[in-house]
Amino acid sequence: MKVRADILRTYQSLHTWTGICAGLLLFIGFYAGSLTMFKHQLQQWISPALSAAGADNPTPASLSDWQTLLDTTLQQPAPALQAGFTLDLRESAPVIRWYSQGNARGLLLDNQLTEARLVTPNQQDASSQPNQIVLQQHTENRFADLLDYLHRSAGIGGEIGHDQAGVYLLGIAAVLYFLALVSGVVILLPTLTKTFFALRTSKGSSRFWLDSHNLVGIASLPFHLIIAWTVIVFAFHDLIYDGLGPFYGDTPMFAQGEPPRQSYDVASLPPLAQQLAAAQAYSPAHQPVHLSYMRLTSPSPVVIIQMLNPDGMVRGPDADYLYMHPYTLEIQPFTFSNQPGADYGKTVMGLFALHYGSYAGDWGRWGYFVMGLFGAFLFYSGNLLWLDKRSQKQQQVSRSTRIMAALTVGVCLGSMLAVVLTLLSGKLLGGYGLGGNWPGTLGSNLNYAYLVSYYSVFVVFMIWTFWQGAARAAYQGLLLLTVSCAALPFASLYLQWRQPDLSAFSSTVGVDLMALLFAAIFAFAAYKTRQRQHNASLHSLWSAPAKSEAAAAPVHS
Amino acid sequence: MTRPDRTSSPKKDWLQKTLAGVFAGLAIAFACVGFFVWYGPGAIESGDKTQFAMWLVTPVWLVILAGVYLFPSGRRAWIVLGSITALLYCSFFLLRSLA
Repeated sequence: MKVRADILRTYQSLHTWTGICAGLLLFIGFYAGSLTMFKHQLQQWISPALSAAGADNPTPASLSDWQTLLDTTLQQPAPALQAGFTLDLRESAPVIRWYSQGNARGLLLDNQLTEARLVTPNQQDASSQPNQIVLQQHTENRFADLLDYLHRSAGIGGEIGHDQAGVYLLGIAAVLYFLALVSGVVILLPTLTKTFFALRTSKGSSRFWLDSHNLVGIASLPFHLIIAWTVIVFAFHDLIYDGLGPFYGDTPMFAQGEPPRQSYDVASLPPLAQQLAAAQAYSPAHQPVHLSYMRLTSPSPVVIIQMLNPDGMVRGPDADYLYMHPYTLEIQPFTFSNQPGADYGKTVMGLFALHYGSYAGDWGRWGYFVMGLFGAFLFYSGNLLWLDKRSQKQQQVSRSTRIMAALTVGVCLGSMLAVVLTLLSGKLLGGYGLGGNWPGTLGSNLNYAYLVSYYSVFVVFMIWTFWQGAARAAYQGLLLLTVSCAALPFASLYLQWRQPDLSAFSSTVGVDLMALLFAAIFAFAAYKTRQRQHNASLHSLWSAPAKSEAAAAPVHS
Repeated sequence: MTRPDRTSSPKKDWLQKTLAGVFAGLAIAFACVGFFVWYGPGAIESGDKTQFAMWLVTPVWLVILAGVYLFPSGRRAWIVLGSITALLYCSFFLLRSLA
């Protein structure tokens, strides 16, 4: 397809500058987003639980046990009622949880979680009171949320309004990202049909980078368009609603029902089985697994039921959400819909699923994991291409090129290295590892330790990169990544040896296997980087000869 | 929307074109969605339609923003997008006041 030369030039510049401005933020957003696909597994990996007494039978507890626990807990004067509480029906021993400090939303690292469990009556004292509960309080491990936070804000702290400043920054980056996508397609149009599947390795490494950049970009274009769109909406939905306000005039944007007056008494709460049956009746294809009760004694009580559907699309990150009135068993608004009609609502829900990659079960999650990593590759390779082209055009390596090269290597490798080292140290030093006697908050609340670990590794590697130059730091960073990824499975083995009671090892062995795979990938990348540095001409960006070599090397004039 | 001016070579005008795309483009996107909200299929009271309308603003805006660099000059971009904006807003509020 022919495109006028001046349009090509314009969109070439647009592609370059939007990419350079947004690429590094998006790199973190993408690779961390890939990790959030398996954030629960990663959290389980970093803080494995001791196997409970009944862990030998991993079958979920019976509904009558749940009912007993629920009844007993609701009779207690415990503040569970005011706080709202959750039960996860998948667990093998019934447990009810609520926040005695903090709440479920936001990034609150001090959250205290209280757990209520049934006292298992031994055979001997079965005659004593059977229905007793025991309360336990502990700090909640929020590693999964920290990964989520890294994904949504690229690790940029601070708050604007009720959201993190980084979220808005990534929203702006997503606008640039959309422009980069469109302009990238425009500049490819003239040669698209000829070179789409070309992956030329013989014409030098920058041609290979360009070909793979184009191939990945075009092949995953729909995914990227959806991500750009949803990220902008996730970041700016409040502002867009405000902007739409004038068009609605006096018409309310969301119809509100009449406010309820009657409050409810927990004594009249229908049995669990009846509530679950109501949820099941709403959508027989789903399986209700997790219940979250809120405002039980108020006029507007609600139970949010997570519904799994392994064979179909779900509209949340892991599950569909059913909002039900726990007393009248009425299905409330905002519930997902399988009924005919309500097409607008379904489309919107579908867009959420398209961002979360939750529309095709585990296959979808793996697909999004891979595509997210390819996305990160797109930004990394884009930056490298720009650096190469710029230093070729300028016939020398200018200061700005060096700074951008250091930023690219420092941000991309530094961020990944920080996550891997946090995983490693979090597992080895926290919980059942070597630690437990750290000073102050770090020891008592691992969430802070994770944060300190991430940011200190990131900052140290950034400084190191600027000091050593991008070429050296790229090789060293990749080597470090190789070693630390390869160390993750050994950390698992070590913990298992120290604490044979840990149940989680076998359930998170996937994390260990993936870590080995990534160690291999990073090792290969390190090898290629080294090779390139040896072949690079003396004064190019990527030449990093050892000092003695440099002195011995003949000077080219 | 764009008429390439073949007689003179196009100007870069990065800043002016971008500003026109961002601000006039956003105004146009909002107005288009405003029409959809009142005259598109479905009742305006339904919260689902409101959510969908909110989602719709972004793609309309992004398409205008991505295309704004095709204008031969920043001035032309402002004139064309500005008059489309004015036209849309006048007709929208005229229609609403008649209703």
